[in-house]
Amino acid sequence: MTTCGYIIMNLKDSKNIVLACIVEITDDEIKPTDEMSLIGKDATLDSMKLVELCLALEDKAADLKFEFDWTSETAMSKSRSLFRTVSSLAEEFHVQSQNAQ
Amino acid sequence: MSLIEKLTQKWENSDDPFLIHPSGKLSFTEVSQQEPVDLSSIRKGDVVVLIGDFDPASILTLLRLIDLGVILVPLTVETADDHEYFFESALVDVIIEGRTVRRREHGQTHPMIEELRNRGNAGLVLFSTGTTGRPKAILHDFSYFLKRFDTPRPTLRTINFLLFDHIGGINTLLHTLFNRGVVVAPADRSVEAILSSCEEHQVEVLPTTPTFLRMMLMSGLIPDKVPPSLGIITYGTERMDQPTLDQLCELLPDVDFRQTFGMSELGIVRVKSESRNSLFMKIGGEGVETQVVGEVLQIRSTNRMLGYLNAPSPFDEEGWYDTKDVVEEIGGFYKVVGRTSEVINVGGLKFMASEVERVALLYRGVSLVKVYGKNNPITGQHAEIIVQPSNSKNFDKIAFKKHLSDHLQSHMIPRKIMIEEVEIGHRHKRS
Repeated sequence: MTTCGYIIMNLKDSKNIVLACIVEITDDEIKPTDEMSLIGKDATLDSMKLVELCLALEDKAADLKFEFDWTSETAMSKSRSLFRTVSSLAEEFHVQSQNAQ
Repeated sequence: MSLIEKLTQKWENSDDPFLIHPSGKLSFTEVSQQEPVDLSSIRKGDVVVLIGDFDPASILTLLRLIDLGVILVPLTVETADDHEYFFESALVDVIIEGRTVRRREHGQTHPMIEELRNRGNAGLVLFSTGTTGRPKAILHDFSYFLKRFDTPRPTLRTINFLLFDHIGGINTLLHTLFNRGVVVAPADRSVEAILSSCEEHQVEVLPTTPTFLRMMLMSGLIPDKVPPSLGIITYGTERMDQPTLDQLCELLPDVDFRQTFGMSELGIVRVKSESRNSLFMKIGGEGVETQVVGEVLQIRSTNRMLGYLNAPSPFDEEGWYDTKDVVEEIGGFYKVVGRTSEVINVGGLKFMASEVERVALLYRGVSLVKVYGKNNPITGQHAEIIVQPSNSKNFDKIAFKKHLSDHLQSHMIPRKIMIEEVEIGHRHKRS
């Protein structure tokens, strides 16, 4: 749904975006789940792929008319919780989209 | 013998021009016949601003001020907004603009200015054009600078923008006057204007920047519009890339390509390219030494500046200057591969932005690129690239991405590709 140029996005939409981005950057080699770990010993993506995932989310956010911040000092200070799982990243993506409106 | 007497002798009975500019020609006789400005209130050792350009009146005043033994600060009207800052930074005593001479009271002293006065030598103050912080006031002992003109050297017909407030401009003017050469000032900086000036005035040497040469390649004007008189093209002030140099060498087989290198802080250094298609160069000249510390080039020169008047000295205790240029060395020849600030560190793996740019430029249809490191909380940094294709409508981003993946190590691959115009004219920086 679009209003005033912004797309209203709920948490589920946000998760779907993150999942779709993972599929895209891994050329469909990974079937991601909500609780898939993004950092730590169980991480499915390597660090460069995680960077690519964030950059893909940056592009999606731009399409949705907001800025996804994952590189500022504020973002860096919460990076451990931010990148824990697909869900935590999707939640941050959602929160930032809401804050932008 | 004074500078003016020496030059008068050299140009005796000659009305040949030493400067050809868009609105005419200028001979030394015209300069020496100008009505002199009243400099009677100026004393040896005064810090004197001369606001001017390479017109007969300013050139005459400039030469007379050097003969008077002042500490000269050449400025142009273009920097008028910064003049007050320049006056304060250089502790200026006198300001000359046109025929007006006015004294400026400040009651300050500076140990380096005092040292120069004790030596009894003329001085030269130039302002750095660095991209960070405010310009620094660079103080040189003018006598070292002038000594090099005692040795006659051959001159070639050169094109030059002759910046009045720049070490290169002053150097070219004095070199041309002392050696009875001719310098051509072009109407504007476009590739077309420069090449047509070269043709019209049978220019032999064209000093450029790599950016200008890339624009020249893109213009489609070479080789057809390059006149046969042009024997040497020099390039400097930014890093050159091998693919551009290779293309130029192929298109212009009779032109000698030479790299230049220098900075106002060090005075003039002599540079010799290993060969016309090589980016390796020997850096030397009288009293110039080089060393490499941790891949970074350091230079020590007896002709260096005395120091900055408004900033801490950039020289270490032994007099070495850190150029911040990362170099490769083979048998005494150096190749600049980037600036220390252009090192990108991805998860502890370091590489130069220039290496990625070199590979990107090999892709057909890419005109300009800029690679930079962007900080991130995962790998510390990753590379991003701005690409300016020659035709953005036909540019295949996916194929370009594959080209990068095929030719670069994984950590060096730019993770973000932006198709847009690359800023030119100075180093593009992002933090």
